[in-house]
Amino acid sequence: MILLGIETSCDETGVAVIRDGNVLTDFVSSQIDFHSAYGGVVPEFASRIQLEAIGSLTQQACTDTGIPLTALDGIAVTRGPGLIGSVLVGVNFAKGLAYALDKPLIGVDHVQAHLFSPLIEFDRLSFPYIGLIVSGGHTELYTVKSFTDVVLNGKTIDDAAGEAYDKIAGALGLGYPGGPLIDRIARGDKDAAAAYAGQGEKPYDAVKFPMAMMRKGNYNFSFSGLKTAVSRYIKEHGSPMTQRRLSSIASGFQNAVTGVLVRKTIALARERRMKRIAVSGGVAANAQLREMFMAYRNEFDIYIPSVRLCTDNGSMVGFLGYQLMKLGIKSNISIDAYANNTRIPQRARTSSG
Amino acid sequence: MLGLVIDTALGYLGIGVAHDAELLSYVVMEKPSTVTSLAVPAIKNLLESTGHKKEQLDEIIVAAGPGTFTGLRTGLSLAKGLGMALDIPLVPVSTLDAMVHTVQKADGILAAAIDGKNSNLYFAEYTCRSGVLKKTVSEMVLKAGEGGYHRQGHARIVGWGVDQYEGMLNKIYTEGIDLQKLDVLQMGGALVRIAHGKLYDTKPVSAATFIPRYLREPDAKTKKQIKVVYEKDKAV
Repeated sequence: MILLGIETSCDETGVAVIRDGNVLTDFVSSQIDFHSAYGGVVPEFASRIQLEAIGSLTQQACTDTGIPLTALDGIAVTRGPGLIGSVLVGVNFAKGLAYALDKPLIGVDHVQAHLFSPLIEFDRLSFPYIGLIVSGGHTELYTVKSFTDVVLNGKTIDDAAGEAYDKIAGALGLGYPGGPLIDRIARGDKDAAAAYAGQGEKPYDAVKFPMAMMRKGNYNFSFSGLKTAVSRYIKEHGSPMTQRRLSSIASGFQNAVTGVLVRKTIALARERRMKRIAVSGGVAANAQLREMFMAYRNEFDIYIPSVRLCTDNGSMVGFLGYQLMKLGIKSNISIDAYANNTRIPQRARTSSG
Repeated sequence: MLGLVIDTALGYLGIGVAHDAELLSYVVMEKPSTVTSLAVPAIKNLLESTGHKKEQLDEIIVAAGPGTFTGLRTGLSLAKGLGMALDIPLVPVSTLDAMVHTVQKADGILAAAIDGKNSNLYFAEYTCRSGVLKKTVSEMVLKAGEGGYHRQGHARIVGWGVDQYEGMLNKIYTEGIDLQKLDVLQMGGALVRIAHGKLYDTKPVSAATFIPRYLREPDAKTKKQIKVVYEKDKAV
């Protein structure tokens, strides 16, 4: 069974060809260079570029695999949540293909595509597992039982972790996307710090910032208080910004974010007596977060996919589409796109617990 | 030549089927929120009711903008998918050109105007002589509150959502204007006539690489295309 996977929920355009659950090819058109000039994703431009890129990426994917569109068995596409203008480009393009080719359309939930994506790279990973999705738009903790049964155990009540990274990077003058830079500076990369701050080679201590909602059994997240605390600290102590100060703020902030993510995930896995933990989403590319999770590998099996699979891509959409199609699940051609989590008809049953 | 018409540029859903320059059928649904869910079923029904199969289509005529943010993306991405899968070209027609062709031709100045939101007015002007329209002012953006374009004479203007710009449009022409609301039911025929008459340099383009023409702000330029390789069990 050969599927096309299309992902356009935020600023990336991803197109992948999946055969029987294996990735044959995966193309992505990144817009980071463009949006960095504006300090964030500009929704209108994002969907402009997607409309431009989606056709040629699909052509490239077909040429690369030698598989013509007519040989596809289905079209999987992200139908939300995301920037609505962007999601609409993917959904309508996919509908055009599916209808014209007389092939099934499988509308896939973006967060769930991330949630199941570690299964693409790890044959050893099996259900059930604890899944942490952490990205610029989502911070959610799940118990993953099957492709059609996931339990939402907790999620952010305000900002996503990646959003906090972008805001703090902006406040530190690191530009967009600042997450990878904060990660490097926080882990002691002096060259990275030197590019953004004045002299100061003395060793530094991380500033201690608060972690929110740490009560036992609470698996929700909150990052807006941390964001305010760090912003206030920068305002009060950030001038002049020495390398030492930049490093201590970046690492203090990163410690607070990664600390709460890791502690809650581990606590949930212990409470539910789960052996397997999978982490995905753009912030899972963060090296400190990866190291902190790997520190628990004696107690748990930890699965964090390669950096490229953590960020948005067509493979995860095609992979989940394939799994759903195998179960006989497909979408009606009149499905709509959605911007947020309030409409979840075609996704796996999500219960809270 | 069998053509499919997709007109979503102004927010409503317009779907038509045309044989050469003759529009066989055209339906309009005016609720913008239904465009994504109803477009494909509407195409299906229209092809069936005119006795055609999608495989018989030779081209897709699209209203290519200017227009609304969501409307354009919805219709054009659908048209791209259809065109690529059926291996047929798109024929992009300027929305403003099509609007002007919805009204009776009478000698004088004709213009088309669309509300571009945030005090922007998308505008183009044409002169009609002996039943032949000639574009005298290409698509441009007029900013509310700013002067700019002025002209001698009286103009008939076909507008979409432009009531609040009536005063501004009035100031352009020394002898005033006659503003009329676009009759959306006439858009299908207008798009087909322009596409088949190859008016205003209209010509077929590849569905895969088609880029709509934007009037506002610079087109985004930087993009990197990367091929990604995943290796099983090689991650952290």
